[in-house]
Amino acid sequence: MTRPTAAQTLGPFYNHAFLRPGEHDLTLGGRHGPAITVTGKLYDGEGAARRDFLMEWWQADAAGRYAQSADAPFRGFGRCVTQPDGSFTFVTIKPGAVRFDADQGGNRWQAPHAALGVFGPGLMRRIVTRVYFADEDNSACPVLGLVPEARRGKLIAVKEGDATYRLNIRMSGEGETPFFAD
Amino acid sequence: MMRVYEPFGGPTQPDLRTERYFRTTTTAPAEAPIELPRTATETSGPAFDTADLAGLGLDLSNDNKALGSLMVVAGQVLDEDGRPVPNALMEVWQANASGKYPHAADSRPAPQDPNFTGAGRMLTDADGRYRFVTIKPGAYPVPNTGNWWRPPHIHFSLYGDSFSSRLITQMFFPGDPLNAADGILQAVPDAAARTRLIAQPDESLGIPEHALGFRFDIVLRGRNETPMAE
Repeated sequence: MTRPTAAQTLGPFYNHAFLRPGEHDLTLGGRHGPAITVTGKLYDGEGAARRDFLMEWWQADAAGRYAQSADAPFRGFGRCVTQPDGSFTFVTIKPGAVRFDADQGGNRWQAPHAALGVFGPGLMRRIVTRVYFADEDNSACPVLGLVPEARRGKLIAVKEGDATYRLNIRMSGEGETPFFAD
Repeated sequence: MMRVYEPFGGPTQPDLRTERYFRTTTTAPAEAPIELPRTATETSGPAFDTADLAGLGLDLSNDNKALGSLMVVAGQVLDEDGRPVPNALMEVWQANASGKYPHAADSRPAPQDPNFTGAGRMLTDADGRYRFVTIKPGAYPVPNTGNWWRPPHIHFSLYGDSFSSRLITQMFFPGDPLNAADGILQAVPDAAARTRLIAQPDESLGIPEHALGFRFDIVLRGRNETPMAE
């Protein structure tokens, strides 16, 4: 067995040539549910909005299944780079509840969510969090339940209008977003 | 068979908070990460195919028009069991021979090279192998650090078989005196893990009288669970 290669920082000069138009829009391959927008801003430990961070979004389809191949009807993956004002936006569909397979045959379900990875200048490796939705029943999610109750709200995107959700990410310091082991 | 992904961390990975890289003090979370069992969310991941390569190829030298030492970089992408990882999307980017990135935020007065875009994208083949042609990047100073210079390096971004196997890293060059003082390479505590970030010269990978050859193998997270003895 060999050890994984060490991660290194994304650095400040991530090449924007990698991002084709629309990589933040998971619905471009065809919609398989009503489109929603999830938006927010990325802040550092001093409360400053941070630009040029790479944000990656991974979610299940509306039935709670993860895509297995590149030609799946809904691929479930998107990415974007934070704007000069620290903002990020994903356009997607609401994921379904995902079976909590760690139970080994149990019947618990994770509330609808997306995994969110953040890379950037000043991050030596990825930090990982999740986005949940305020208009879903999050009370029995076994993963959300691992987060101290007082901090859970920082993972739950607030609904603004018919189809827009907002969640700010604070990487460090006061009001820090809960991050999971990567 | 169950795939196992151990949490990132330990001496073979850089600490999130790294004294010599000043930016980390405002970005590294202060709270300990919350441990979670790896669910379908973490053990699945995006898949890619040739349609995703759109517009970016394997020759960063722009058919030998970019300035600098021409070189071939090749290697194999493996999992922790040493099994090849096929169809891994790999993106590479780097500074030009003057140590300047084709990025608006790189304001240092070094020349751009109009023949160098510094970006390549590829999929590993059925044996997990990759190969691309580029020029050797230059060193460049890190602003507001006295006079710390980043050694020549190439950035690598890889999507393996799951969200958990995602990796962004950097490849360095053997024998460069700047490697020992680099606050980013040296942020990896384990000496052997640092050595694995340094490419190996390999004449057989180069092109005679045309291009140097370097080998750089990458190990992504993920191994098969060891079967329990019955």
